[in-house]
Amino acid sequence: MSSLTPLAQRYIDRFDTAARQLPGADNRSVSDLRRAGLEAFAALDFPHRKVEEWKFTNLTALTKPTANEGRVAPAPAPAIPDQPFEARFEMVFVNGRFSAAESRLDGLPEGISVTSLADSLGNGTVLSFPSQEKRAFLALNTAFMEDGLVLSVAEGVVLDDILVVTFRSEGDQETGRHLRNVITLAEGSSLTLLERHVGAGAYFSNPVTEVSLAADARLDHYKLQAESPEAFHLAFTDAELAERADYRNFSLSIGAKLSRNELTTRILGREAESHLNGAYLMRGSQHCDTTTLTEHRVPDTNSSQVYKGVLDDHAHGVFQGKIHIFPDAQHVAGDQLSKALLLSDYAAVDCKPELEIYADDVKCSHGATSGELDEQALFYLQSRGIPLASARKMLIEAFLADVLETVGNERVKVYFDGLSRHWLSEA
Amino acid sequence: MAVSQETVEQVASVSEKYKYGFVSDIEAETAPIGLSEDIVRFISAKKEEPEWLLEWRLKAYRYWLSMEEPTWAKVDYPKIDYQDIYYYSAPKTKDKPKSLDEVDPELLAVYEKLGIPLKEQEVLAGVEGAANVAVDAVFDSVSVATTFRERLEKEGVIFCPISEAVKNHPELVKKYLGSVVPYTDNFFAALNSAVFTDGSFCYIPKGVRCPMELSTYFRINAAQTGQFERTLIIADDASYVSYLEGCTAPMRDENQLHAAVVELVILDDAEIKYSTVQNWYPGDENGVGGIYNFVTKRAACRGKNAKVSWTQVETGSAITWKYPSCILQGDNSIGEFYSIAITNNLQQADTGTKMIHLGKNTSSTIISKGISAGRAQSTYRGLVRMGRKADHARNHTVCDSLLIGDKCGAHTVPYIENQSRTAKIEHEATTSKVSEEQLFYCQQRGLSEEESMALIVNGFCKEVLQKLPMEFAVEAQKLVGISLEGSVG
Repeated sequence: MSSLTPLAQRYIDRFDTAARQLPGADNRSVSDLRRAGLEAFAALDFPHRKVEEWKFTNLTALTKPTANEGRVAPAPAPAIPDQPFEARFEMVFVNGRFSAAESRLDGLPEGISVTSLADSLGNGTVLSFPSQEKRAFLALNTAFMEDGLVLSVAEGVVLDDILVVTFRSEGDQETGRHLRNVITLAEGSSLTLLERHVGAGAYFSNPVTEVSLAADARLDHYKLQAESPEAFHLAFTDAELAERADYRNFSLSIGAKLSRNELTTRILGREAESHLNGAYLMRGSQHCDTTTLTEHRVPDTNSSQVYKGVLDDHAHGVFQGKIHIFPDAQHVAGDQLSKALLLSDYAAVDCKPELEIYADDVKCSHGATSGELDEQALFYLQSRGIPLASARKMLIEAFLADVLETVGNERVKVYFDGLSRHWLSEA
Repeated sequence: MAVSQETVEQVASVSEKYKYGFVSDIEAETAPIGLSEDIVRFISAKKEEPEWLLEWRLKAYRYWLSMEEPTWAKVDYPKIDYQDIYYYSAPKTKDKPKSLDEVDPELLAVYEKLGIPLKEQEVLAGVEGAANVAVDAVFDSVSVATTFRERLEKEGVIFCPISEAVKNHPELVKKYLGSVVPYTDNFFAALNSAVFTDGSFCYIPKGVRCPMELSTYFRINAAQTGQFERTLIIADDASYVSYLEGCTAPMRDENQLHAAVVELVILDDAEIKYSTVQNWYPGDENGVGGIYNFVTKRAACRGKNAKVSWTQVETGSAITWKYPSCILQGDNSIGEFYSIAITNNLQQADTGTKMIHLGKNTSSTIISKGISAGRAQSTYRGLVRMGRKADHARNHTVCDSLLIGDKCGAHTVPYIENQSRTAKIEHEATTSKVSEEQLFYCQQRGLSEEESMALIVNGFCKEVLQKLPMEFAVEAQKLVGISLEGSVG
């Protein structure tokens, strides 16, 4: 393996030293797992654009940082406002490590267990991880994971409040932060989770989240990606759903220099449903990639997806979504919609909505549109005395409104609404 | 027990399924089996080609050697042994026929049997009042006859086998050959550039509206032979032509390779309408035999207000790998793609289009209907790209898939890349099955289940069928019914 990217080579060189210091070093099964992750990663390297799944996202800036030396970078997007969100329960990770001092977890109802992954690995709890073939970032995470949220909700337990998990990164760091979250909901339980990624400086964040929903469980999973404008954010979430489980995911992406939000939902039980929605607001030279895979492995299941993007300046948006219906998975409904708004002559969007269907009694559809603001609507508003700038803002807000509507939790909706309005006001 | 009348009819209808599956015993002259530089030289020598073309072929061949067969398409087939194919096979003739009367009557009989009369006064398919169609008949590796040449010459239209065009119009061939699909384009285009044997060449001069429809009919006859034809059509300023392409092959247990290249060049204000009914032998119900159809078709709208329209009905071939594309370079140019792909039994089709918008106010429409039955897999794969300078470009895409039976698959893989703020792109796709209600309704009106299915499927395809020239539409409609035979019940 002589042709690895410089960053991959650095990771591999560092592994032996790093593994001794990472949590779970004394545990044989953990070190075996890390070793397997490293081997899988070494065989894959960081993906380049010839890899079909990465056709639209170029990682050179991350993997060969020297390639960009001497190039004048366009002005970074403005920093993300630290808008407050009142949370009774919050778990905070600073620079990839759990911060007990900043977290507030007292008073969580019985049956909800929240611990840090570093502790779990340290005390030898054996975790099972999904297969990492073909996913370099998952393999890398397995090799170097250092901390994360381990959440389990017992049978029938319902949390009325919101559990907030904040991942904050401060300062430049050459190597990545590999967080691993493991979320398990037992039968009939229900939880609302808000995951926030914020920070300042140049760093590389590589979070992996595994979600497992037992029968009748429901998870409302919200994610705010407001990383530093100089940061890389490459996230992977894998959810598996048992009978009648209900998984709702909404991601608002406004940060990072380059980000990818990859979601895989495996629907394994009948009458289970998955709803993935999101909005991305990008400017400067930001790049935001949303990649989803929804697998309907059994009959009588539903899924839907709506993603909307607003792209200004030189920003680049990517949406790749795939609905895969397995043989004999009859009576499935799967819908997918991707819409992008281009506000500048230099913004671009790439879209690949894919259907792979092996059962006949199904109803699937996908739609994708992209374009600029409707000139007639703009003219109408102006003819009513509204200045152009306000009219544009109104139309963009309206464009985003129907996807923000899908945020079921009222408090999160107000929060996300505020963040997107703030983003618009900075234009 | 006596065989019932019903069984007899059933057997008859099944054997009628692929009625072009006969083999004609025509003595052929073939090149030695396999592929090498010598074979490329052999083909070039046979065609009495000038040095520059041989050089081009050799460059393509050498480039092909450095390439790998693509694997990205959603088709699955055993590895092709490129050394186990005859790259040249031509019916033996004593002298080159000077007119249609001198063409081997056996060959004429073959075309008669296929329903393609090679006589000038006759009208295709017996449709009264239909316009004449000029036919270039390609049999295995060579063109055997071209009709209505004099009539066309009067208008200045050049319509002849490409091997003749190389001799008679070298300046046009040299200028345009490989300018739309260079030999470096892809694996099969490189292979074709090295070994292409014949095909049609067509040039419509400035301001001429071609007085009749032009057509090429491809027939594979010889066993173990690949067909590699190359078509080049040039529509000069403000001209118009409608071009039809049809193809069939005998039923055989082996797979045969067909790797064609079609290049269209459309200049200012010109229009080309290109229609294909692809009915290569699809293999039997167990997937034995059939043609591997790997085709590169591309149109370059070089001039302003140029227009190209691809219409295809894909019912044949074991494997189809085909993406007729439009490069919309000239301002206000228009690209259209209407497609019906029907796969039954074990057929696999990976087909779609590419619309590359470069000029201002360019627009494109894609209507694709995929139908899968039996254990077939059909994939729509398409690209819509709006370049940075494609101001106010428009695209509208609809791709619908219909599944008949629970063992088949239908897939949609569109790529949409937009770099133009003022461009508008709309893409929609649906997948569904024929509804029980529709079937029930037709059946209670007295139609059989199969007839009902054919009727519903024809309705599903109507948007595309309407775009075909009349003679083709009749044939295509029948084909839709025949291809789905045995897929219900």
